[in-house]
Amino acid sequence: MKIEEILNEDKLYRRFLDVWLKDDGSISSAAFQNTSHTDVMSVDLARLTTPEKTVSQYPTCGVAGFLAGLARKLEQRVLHDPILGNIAHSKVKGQKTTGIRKKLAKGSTVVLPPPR
Amino acid sequence: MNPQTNMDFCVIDHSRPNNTEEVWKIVKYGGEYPTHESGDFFQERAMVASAANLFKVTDLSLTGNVTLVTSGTSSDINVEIPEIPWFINDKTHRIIVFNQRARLPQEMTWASCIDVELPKWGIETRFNQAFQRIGRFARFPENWDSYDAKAIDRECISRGVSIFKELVKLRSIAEVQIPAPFVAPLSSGGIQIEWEEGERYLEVSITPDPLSVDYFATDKAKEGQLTLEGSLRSTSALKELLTWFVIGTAEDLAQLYFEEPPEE
Repeated sequence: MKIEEILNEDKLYRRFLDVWLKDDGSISSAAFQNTSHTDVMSVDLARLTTPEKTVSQYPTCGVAGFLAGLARKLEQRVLHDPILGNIAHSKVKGQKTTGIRKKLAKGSTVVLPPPR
Repeated sequence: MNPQTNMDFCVIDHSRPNNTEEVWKIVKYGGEYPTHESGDFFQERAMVASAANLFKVTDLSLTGNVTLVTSGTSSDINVEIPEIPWFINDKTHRIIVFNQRARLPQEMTWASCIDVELPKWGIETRFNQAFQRIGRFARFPENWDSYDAKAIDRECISRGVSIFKELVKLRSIAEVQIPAPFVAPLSSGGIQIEWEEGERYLEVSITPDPLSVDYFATDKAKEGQLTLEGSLRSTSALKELLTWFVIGTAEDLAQLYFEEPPEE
């Protein structure tokens, strides 16, 4: 599979649950944790997928979107990492301190709200 | 805040829901509002005042509770708060509720009114909702977040419940009620408890392997964003953080220092 260069302007999709959606419509920083015992947070590269595809296997999830440039500003590496069944899969690599998670949350928008 | 606007404050009389006889008054600061024309409010009027001027509500010959709804932090407006106020968290607004007859100063003029969102009645209800959410996290299976999340750790839930019990005990600080927090599960199997009001943010996270309780506090100051983080080791530290969140300033955050307990 071809590895794409991810530009700062590229949008990234991250699935999230309604338990992370606050009353005011913002997303909790809890939605932006690395996978346990790794320094990687999985995302999808928006231009290779759709919000609907991102949640197609996960009907309880919504989709948050943020720019790759935001993650890079927060000293994260953003890499395309296609996997079987998901060519858009990418990773945001780096330690996610509380401050970084909060900034990712603040810089994210709800692209597809989770069912409530 | 725009002191130039002539709609800085709004007063709306409203009967309290749930069959109570009290009359509630809601005062909302800031922004332009649509005229409210339905019959829901039996008396509607807006007070025109500059946010830069002292706003004193004393008596409007109507008994009942008065609610001030402000945007931003309470220091953004000049409000003389009578008797014992209490705060409830209403999404992005801070609401000051106090029990006193209201009198509007003669120099204030009236205009036709505007709609406001009702405050969320009962802080107990909101605390209970948050408390019940923690209990629900215990039933989350592995991979509940679709990204290989761990099931929520029992010890974290137990610690979360303990912190909540402390919160209920602490609920009143300097006669001001602590807003009910938002609680969220963490993919690492932990729990996050958070409060947010504008630029002010306080988070307590409880994480497993090994169990740890950490805090993260941030606020906007003249010099930029101030951040304080570390391990939360005592109830008194939690109380200090909450005191800052509810009534403090960014400068107060900069002054916070928590002594490490002696090694055992």
